[in-house]
Amino acid sequence: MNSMKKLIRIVIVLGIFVFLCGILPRLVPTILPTISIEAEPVFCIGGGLIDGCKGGFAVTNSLLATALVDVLLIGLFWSVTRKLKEVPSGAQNFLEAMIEILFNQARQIAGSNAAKIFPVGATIFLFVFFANYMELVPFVDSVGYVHHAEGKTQGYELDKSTPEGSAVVFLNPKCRVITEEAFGRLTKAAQQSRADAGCQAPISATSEDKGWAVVPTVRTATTDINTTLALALAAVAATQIFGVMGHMPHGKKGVGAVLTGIKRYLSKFFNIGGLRKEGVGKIFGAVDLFASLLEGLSEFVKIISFTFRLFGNIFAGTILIFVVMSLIPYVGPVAALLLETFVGVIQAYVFMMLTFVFMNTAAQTHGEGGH
Amino acid sequence: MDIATATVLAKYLGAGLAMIGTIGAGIGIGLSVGGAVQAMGRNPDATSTIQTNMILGVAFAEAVAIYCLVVSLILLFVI
Repeated sequence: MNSMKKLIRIVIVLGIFVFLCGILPRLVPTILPTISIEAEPVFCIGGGLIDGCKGGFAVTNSLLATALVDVLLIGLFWSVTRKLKEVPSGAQNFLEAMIEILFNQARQIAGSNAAKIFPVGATIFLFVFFANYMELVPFVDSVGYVHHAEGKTQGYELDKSTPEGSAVVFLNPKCRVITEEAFGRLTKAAQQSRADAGCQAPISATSEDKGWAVVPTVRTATTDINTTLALALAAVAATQIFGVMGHMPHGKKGVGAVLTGIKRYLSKFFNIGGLRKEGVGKIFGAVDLFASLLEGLSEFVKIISFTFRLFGNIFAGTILIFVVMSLIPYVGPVAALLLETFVGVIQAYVFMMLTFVFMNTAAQTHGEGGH
Repeated sequence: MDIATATVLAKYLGAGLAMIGTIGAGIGIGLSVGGAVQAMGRNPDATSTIQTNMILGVAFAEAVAIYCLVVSLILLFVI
């Protein structure tokens, strides 16, 4: 009797699973969103969106997302720090715990310098953390305007059920616009299923009408390479400034001290001291010079590596979510979203840690190096 | 085979080939995490320090894999 109940339960669970994974996607097919590596403009200040926003300022969907994250962060911290309590509770408790964890990381790396480098890294962490987690928020990356597909993008045909002149349109997920040449490469069954769905004939390669695509109004900020490049530039610039500060003579202020700091800091990248030596020392001096030039090159590599690490991870994550959502739309995304929850926080953490480490190494002078 | 078909073929082939580079990153991450876990097993008190350094090392190794990924994504969606 008991095993019978168990069997029924298993059959019911399997049935729900088959319904969600196999039948429901057939009844309500989902669309694979058009994937574009650059951010799309949503509206245009001082120009027309139709002619590519010439002479105006194009507000892209990732810029909107950046502004949203900024508003969220500033609002959160402003509202909490207005009424600070001796014994924290609620949001204040949460933020204090978060800041404490970040500060402990900074202290572990930089020791006594922690208070100086902490603001830069923590700001980056909080921004990247919130920006990454935006891809887990419903409607981000999915709600937007429908417009004509351009360039390489292949859009979808409008569904027949769309009323004339309606504000909300439906795209037909079975009818992706394809060229004649791509149509020829399809299997017989795929060609037949397109015909059954009532799709239009394939277009010629030079055709302008490439169907319709959705431009999301808000797109995850860190899936735009400009955002991550800006963050990387800010982090590396902060590293240089902190490096100069660390090389300034102790206890002195003013222009002279700054100039000395810059001179000492630059000697790390143009180490010509060894060339003044006599005999064999000159050869080692040349090797030192070469090594120091490589050190200078590595500063530029830092920008590239910061940029692409964050962009690649989060953009790949978004594509993963897109593809899984179009293949197994009702159960599959759970796994992808779980993975992205993990990746989002790890990438923010890594960005912060690397900033801390780079800033700390930049500030180390020759005398106390390697402690 | 005409030019258009050859371009499409080369695009997908190139995207696949670019991802071969991730093998190295995979080996690197495996080695560093393996070493870190062994070290944590021997000296559990040092876990936090080891973990921090491990994550940094993994991030550096992973960056190489991400370059490959970016190259293959550009091949697929931009070119």
